[in-house]
Amino acid sequence: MLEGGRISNRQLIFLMLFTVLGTANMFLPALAAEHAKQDAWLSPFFSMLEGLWVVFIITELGRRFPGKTLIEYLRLITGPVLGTGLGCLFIFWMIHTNAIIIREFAELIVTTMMPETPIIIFLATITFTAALLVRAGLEVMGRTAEFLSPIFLGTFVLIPLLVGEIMKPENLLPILEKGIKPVIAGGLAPGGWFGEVALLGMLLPYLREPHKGRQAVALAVGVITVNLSVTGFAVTAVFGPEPNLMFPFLTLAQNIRVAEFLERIESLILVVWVAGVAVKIAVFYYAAVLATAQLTGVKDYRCVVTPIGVILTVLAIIIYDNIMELVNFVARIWPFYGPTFEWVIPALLLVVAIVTRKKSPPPPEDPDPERNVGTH
Amino acid sequence: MVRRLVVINMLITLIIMSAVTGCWSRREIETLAIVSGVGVDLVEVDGKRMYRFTAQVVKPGQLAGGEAAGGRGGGGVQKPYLVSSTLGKTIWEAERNFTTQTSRKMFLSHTEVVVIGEKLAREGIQPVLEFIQRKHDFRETTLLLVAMGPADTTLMAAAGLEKVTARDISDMVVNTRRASVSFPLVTREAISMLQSSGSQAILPRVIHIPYGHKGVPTGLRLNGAAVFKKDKLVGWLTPEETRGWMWVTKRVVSGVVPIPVPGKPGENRISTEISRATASITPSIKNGRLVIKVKINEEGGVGEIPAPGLDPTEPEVVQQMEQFLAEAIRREVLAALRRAQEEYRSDIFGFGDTVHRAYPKVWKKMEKRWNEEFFPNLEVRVEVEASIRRVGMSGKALSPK
Amino acid sequence: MVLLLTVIFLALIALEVPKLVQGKMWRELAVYSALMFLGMFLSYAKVLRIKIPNPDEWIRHLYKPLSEAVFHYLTGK
Repeated sequence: MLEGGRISNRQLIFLMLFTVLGTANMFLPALAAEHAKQDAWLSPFFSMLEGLWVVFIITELGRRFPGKTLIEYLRLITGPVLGTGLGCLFIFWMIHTNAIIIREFAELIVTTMMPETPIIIFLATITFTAALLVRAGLEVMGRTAEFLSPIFLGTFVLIPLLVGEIMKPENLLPILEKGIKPVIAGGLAPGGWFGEVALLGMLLPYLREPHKGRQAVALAVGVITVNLSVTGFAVTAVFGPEPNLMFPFLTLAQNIRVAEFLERIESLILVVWVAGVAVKIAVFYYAAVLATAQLTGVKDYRCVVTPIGVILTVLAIIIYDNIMELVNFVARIWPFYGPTFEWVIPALLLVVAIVTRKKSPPPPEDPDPERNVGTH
Repeated sequence: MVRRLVVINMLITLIIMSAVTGCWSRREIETLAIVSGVGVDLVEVDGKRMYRFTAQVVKPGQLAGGEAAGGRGGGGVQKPYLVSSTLGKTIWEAERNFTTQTSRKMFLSHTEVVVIGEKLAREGIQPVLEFIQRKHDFRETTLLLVAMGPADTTLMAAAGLEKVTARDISDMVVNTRRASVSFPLVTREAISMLQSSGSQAILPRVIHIPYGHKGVPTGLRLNGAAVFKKDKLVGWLTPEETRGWMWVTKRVVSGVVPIPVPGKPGENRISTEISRATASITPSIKNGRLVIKVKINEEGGVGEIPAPGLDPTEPEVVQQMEQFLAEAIRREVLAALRRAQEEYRSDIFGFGDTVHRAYPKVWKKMEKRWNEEFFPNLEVRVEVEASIRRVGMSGKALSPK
Repeated sequence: MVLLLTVIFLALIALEVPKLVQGKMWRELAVYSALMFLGMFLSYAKVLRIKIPNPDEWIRHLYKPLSEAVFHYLTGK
């Protein structure tokens, strides 16, 4: 066993919350509003369907192959050659996506706070932080997420409340002016984000109660939907149907002015957000590290943490020349590139597994009585 | 082995320390020029169009000990602020040229007001709003004003009760709500007005009167409004018209409305104070004609009655006062409407937005020609319901005998 | 820049490799070296401004037609 730690279902919920929300609440309102205009708050509900679909596929695979991660059953289903190839693709996807996330984070800090600092500083420091989390193992990550989530969620609930005074709810009318299509278009990019819960495929075996994983992550998807919808609502109500902003949520925070003294709190929000992003990056990082370790058959995954960290940092620099390319990728390509690995390939795997009746026996009884596998 | 590890660890610590201690973008307060007010003008220098960026910078030391040190000494009293203007081909270039005149770096995050010069406003305010929105250190809660005349002299005006002119202006903006002849408008609102096809921008006006003239007091004056079409200034609203606009857009907070004396026509006016006001705009389509109904509800109280012996508690008097009050409010609203519809052809009321919300399909056809064709000929029905709730500390009006 | 990078890489390697060698974890060492080599190669290429193929660009080209078709259908643009 590469990973000895176990996380509780509650910790899984929080990890998944960070995995999606980490960057979603900063970048998505702008992407949804681009197409959906005043209906931006409806778009997350379409993305939610995609998220739930991913949860269904991944947990269904998890049921057929209890105690195995995505990389492990990949090879069981498609054979060693094709399985290893697909595994490499998955690892590339995880690392590439993580590099995009790291770049997003650094671009935001450079644009909004410290334009004179070279971007590499932010790329390297956040990767270093995430590397420490990954080295500490899954349990520590779970506890970190558990510890951070009240602050994180609290902040992102508080901001829409604090701008209540300057909201103009009539900005949301007319609803569905141009039909449902633009709303779906606005939900495509968030859909790719929701699909990031596919990393569950790497974490499922390390749950204390794997059979309850589906409920837990579905709950997380629900919370994320509500959060994004509320954010979209607040952004539209404050800035109108065309916010035309790079980071609407942050500008929203800039506009907070309660009773003449509570203002200019966006720096505080960034502090909380940075912590959240660190967890998000760590989850992706961990998934990539674990996948690499399993694919190469090493006994300790810690030996690949540093090299992958180096690759992550340098990839984050070289993949885009500027922030416009990054935003364009996230808005146009990611809605299709992400789901390819999030559910298209897993769904194909599931179909193949069903057709060829491949299944794996439940793993041997665990000495830990809290862990119940194979009861379903 | 252990010693080697220690050495390596120390090496890493050193590298990290050199890279992480303090940030690149750190700014110490002693090296900053904290800007509290900004003025942007368009000027012609040697036949070239240039932006003039005027910054009012606070001197914290002077601000704290200013009164104790100066004042009585007579002569040589230093102002607690510095006003400096720079030129540039773009606003940002002008802002950056500030470094050619002062020793400190400009810190814009605490800018309270941005004053736009009249000439620039007539050419278009898009560059200013774009600059504020795109630049990371400006905040969208910065108040916007249009100066009648150049913006730099406005910021050079002597501060009144506050120590810095910009502070004076920003506090005045809040204070004038009690007269409702001007209104606070933050950049965010201006941007959303500008971006909407169903409403045109309107910004509060500030006037600097440097010399006394025919009994008009000197200094800064905050009243009236600047009406825009797209992003270009097309004209001004008088204070009364401004309040007319504010009634419709639910911005009236308080103020004094003079009304005629019931039963005694003449010059004398009764003062009524506005204590509450709301409004609703409802568009409707009847027989293919678009009609906008504006309903205003106001509550007020009587403040002074220059008609000896008039009993404001008598039901008929109250009824008549309420009628006069409603009429006075209606007149203000109609004056603003006439200006906007006939003279400026600019939908500052946001009627277009209400049509967009209620009849999205109809709006689609009107959108392109709204300000030129539909809005000027729009039928607007104004209904005012005014009620007088209280009459003050006395009963009948004071009558000298 | 190259020097700084070299120092950082040497430090990272010096911190981890001895442990792997001592534990005789040859498989781990092989994986570590392969990945580290890739990371170092990319880093030096970036610092020395050597043009390296960008996988992100391939992905962009690969998905562009699909993206354009779907967004055209949904938004008419």
